[in-house]
Amino acid sequence: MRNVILSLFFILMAFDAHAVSISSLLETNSAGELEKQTIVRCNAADAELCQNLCSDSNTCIQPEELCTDCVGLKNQTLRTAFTDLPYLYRRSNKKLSSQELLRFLQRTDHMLLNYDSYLNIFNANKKDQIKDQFLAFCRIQTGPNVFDNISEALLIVSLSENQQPDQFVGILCTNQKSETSIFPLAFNPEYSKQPIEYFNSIINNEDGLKLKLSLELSLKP
Amino acid sequence: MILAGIGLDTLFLDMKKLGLLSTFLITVFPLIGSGQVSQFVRIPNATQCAADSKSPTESAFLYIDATNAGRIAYQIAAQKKYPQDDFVARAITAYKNRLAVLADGVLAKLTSGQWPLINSAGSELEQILKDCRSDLNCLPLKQKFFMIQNASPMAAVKSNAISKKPSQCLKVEELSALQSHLFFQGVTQNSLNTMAQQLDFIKAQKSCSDLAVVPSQDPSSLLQLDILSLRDDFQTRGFDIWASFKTYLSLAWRYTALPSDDAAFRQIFLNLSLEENMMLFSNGCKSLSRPECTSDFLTSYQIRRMMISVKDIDPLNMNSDEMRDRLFKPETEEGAFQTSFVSKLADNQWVSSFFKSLSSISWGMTAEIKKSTQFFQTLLNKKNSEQLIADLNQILETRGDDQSTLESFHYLCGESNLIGQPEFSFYSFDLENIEKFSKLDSNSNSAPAGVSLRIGQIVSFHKDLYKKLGSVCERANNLEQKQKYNFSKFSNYRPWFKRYLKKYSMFQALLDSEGASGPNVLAPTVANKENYLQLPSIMRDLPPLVFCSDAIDCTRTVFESMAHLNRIALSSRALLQNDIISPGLFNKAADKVACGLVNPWEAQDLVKKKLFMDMISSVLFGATRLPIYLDVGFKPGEVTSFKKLVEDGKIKFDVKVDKPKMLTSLALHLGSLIGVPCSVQISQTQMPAPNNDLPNYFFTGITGSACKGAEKGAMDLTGAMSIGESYKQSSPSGQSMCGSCSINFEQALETSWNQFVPFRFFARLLDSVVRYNNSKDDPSFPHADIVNLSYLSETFHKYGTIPEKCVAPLKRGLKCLNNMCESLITRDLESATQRKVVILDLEEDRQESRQENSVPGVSYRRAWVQMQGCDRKVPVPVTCARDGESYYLNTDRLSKNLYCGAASDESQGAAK
Repeated sequence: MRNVILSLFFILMAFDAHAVSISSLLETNSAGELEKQTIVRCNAADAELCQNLCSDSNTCIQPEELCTDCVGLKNQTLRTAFTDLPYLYRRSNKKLSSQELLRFLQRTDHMLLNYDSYLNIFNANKKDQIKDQFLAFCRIQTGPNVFDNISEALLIVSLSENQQPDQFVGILCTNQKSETSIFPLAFNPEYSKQPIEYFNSIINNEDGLKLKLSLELSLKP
Repeated sequence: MILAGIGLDTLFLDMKKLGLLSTFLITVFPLIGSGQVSQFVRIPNATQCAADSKSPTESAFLYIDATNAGRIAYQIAAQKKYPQDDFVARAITAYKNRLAVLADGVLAKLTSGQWPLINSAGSELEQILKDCRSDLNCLPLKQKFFMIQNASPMAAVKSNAISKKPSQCLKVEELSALQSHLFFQGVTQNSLNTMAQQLDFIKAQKSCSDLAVVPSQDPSSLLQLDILSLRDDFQTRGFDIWASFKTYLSLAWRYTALPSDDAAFRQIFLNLSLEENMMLFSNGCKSLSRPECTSDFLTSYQIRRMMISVKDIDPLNMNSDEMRDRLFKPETEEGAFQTSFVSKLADNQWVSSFFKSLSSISWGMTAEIKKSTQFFQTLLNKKNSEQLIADLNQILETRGDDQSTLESFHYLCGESNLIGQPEFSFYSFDLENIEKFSKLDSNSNSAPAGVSLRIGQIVSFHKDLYKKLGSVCERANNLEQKQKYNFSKFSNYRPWFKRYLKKYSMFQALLDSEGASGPNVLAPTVANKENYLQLPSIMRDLPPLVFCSDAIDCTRTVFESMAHLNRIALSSRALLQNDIISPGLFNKAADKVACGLVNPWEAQDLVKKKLFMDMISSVLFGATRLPIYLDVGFKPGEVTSFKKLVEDGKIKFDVKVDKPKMLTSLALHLGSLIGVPCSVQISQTQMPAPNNDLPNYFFTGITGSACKGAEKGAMDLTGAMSIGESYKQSSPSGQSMCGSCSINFEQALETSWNQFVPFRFFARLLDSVVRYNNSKDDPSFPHADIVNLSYLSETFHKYGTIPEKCVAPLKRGLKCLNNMCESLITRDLESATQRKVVILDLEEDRQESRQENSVPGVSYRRAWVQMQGCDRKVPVPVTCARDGESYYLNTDRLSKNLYCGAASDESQGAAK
């Protein structure tokens, strides 16, 4: 019974992808520096989001935050990103709304990790495997694989005040129609019962209560 | 270890005192007078090397590893479709160049005093660092650094550097004769020959700021950083300079933009964990940080081991007991170690291969932390100790008659007993270290994702489990007895347990015999694999991550993980902290000295005592009392020289004594000892005389001692062994005074100079000093030789080899001439006049030579010298025997004729 409800929920949700496409690329900026950039493209339906984000209704290009002092063999957080993420994390089933997505994009306390991120000095030769692991978070865990047409997954890593990678807080899933959805992550309850609170403030900002309720509903068996 | 800022004349005068003043010396420095750049190499013997560990080094190597910069560039090139080889080479070169320029600049800023030392008085930086918990990315630290940098910007370094360089940074292509002190301990004819043969292979060394390099994919780079002008307080502040250097370099890397930077990598490079990719280590026996008898310092031995064997990949398996055991190992084993160490050095790949093993160790350690803490995180998320014990009891209930089950219990209980109660265990858990380590894991960088546990929780879980395990083990043991099983397969214990027991020969023999009996070893298997503790994956086709198969396996893993965490905690500060690694690579005895187990000055102390006794006896036999006494207001313990005491008027002479005559005699007979910085010692064996107004402190002589103080600490072997507690030695009050001596005064009750006979006193004293100087050749006596490489080269090219007669002068940094007297006179005249000696004829002292009791060989009392640019020889009064004994030449009163009249006043002034 639980599976059926969840499946129905996800099928409904699949049609609810934002008509916003988010990608993260390494580009050369005007100062000649290689710079990680978040590129947000809005279609007519979501033009407001881009308008609010960068006063352009079509495309916003934002320089991305970077973790400092983080690429080293001793860095446990990045190591986890490319190794045992599928064991330690689960995806929350709650997709964030356009408003929440906007609030997320306006914040500068996170960075985005592609499966082939140049920050991966741990096992860069296993890009295909890492891609599968990232994509697995975009696919639903049970029921029909309505998210099989996901083409890109971006891991959201929160950054501490000192630009250190802190937690894996969410995942950005983009389907083949270039529609991006955003989901918070949680720990595998068998691993840790500690909540990951990054998105709470984003969710609780305005219509937080409503969303929280629906989140609880969706998780009920 | 380079000095250039000090005057050449001072330096040369000091050369005489090398044996005594070793710590104030230099290894390599430019010689101005010869017209070409030549260099001195200081080579301490083994004992001096041990003693040097207490002094701050003046020269260090900075090893830079740009592998990660290359890795990142490789991936960017793949993504952006750039030509990979070119892009990787460009990134690596940009990375190395940026660091080299920064290192050069930061050291210059520090040594010139433009940037404050981090822990200088009133330094806000130290407090900010504390507040930021040493996180260099912390905002207040960044702001403070900007302030310091704006006050004295990095770009200004170069212009300052031209007039008087406080430091220099060189790119070292490969080790050469210039680094001979790393290969030899003490100088012999053989080692001089080897060095001389290498001289022609010395490559010109480029400055760090020289950026004209061909981009290459070679990720490693070795820089040599030298502090050229030593401040008076270098002995006490030297360690602070290096500590500050590390912090400033880290800050500059993050927040300083250089005009020479490759803009493309400006942001990308900030991703890299700089400190992890470089290593700063002393160029020689002296230290970068104050040696303390702590586990971090003891780790340096283990780090050194990595140099000789990359295969010995688990050198960090020591616990505190083993560290202590290692300290007591006899020197013979160390000798073999030193040999392989040096042979490894000769291989020019040594530093990169060493760094690779070091990185792989750190990598292994972080992997171990991840594994162990994730295990505990999952276990404690699911079970508490009661539940685990209940599950163990459950196994005994259901499978208590099963042989393999009981065998597993047998090993489990053996292992748990070895660790046992953390406080009392002979495996010695170092709770203090684990606590320190837990602070480390609060840093997000080293804490594995999602591990919310603190080490304290793990430790208390472990303690709790051990207590409750007692009854389970007793029950299992009873069942084992009942069934008459005999489990004694040593090989079935877990590796950490075997590794520990292997140090006992009994267990080693057991393991060997089991190994010989073939691989038929029964593994402790469990009938039903339960996957007791596991984490399922989010992917259906990815099997779960299994930590342990059943409650027995899990309990054994608890103890195993504790053992692993313990040993990581022991070396965590040395290897895991976000600090530039700085091991003392070239001093095998440093840890022993720091822990008070080796006293490098022991042999010298004996000789010193002898000299002291001689001096006392000279006083007794030569004179009843000495006519020299100390001013009443003088504070004992102050460091000064005898000469300065006299100049400052602290030394008083009896009215009956002719002061100038006395001083001349003292200068002649104390020779170099007269100017040596010494501490003033007053022996107060007798009570002050009542109603006596006179300060009755009589001069009893000068005793040479390479180092004083700081040798009080000894390891307490009786108490519970825990690093950080019983290894801690009584902290020495104040800095030890290496390379100094003491001027001794003795309190006496009465004053009576009437029977003083100067002649006998000085005859006796001279004998003592000569004996003292001869004893310097004793290998157990701290001593350093100085070799002037250009003289060495000159000699080698003249004779095709180094003849035996040249060993003595070359060892003292002198030219090899007809005899030692010629060498000494040439050195002093050249340094005083800044001109070359063209002709030198010695005039024999016939009167002296005819005397039967005089020193054997020829004595000279006058030299006829012609200096460069002069057209005739002039006489110079001198005292010298053939082998350089009782040598005296007063360079303060040289004849103006030596300067050929021209510019004599100027030169003389400069010479002074």
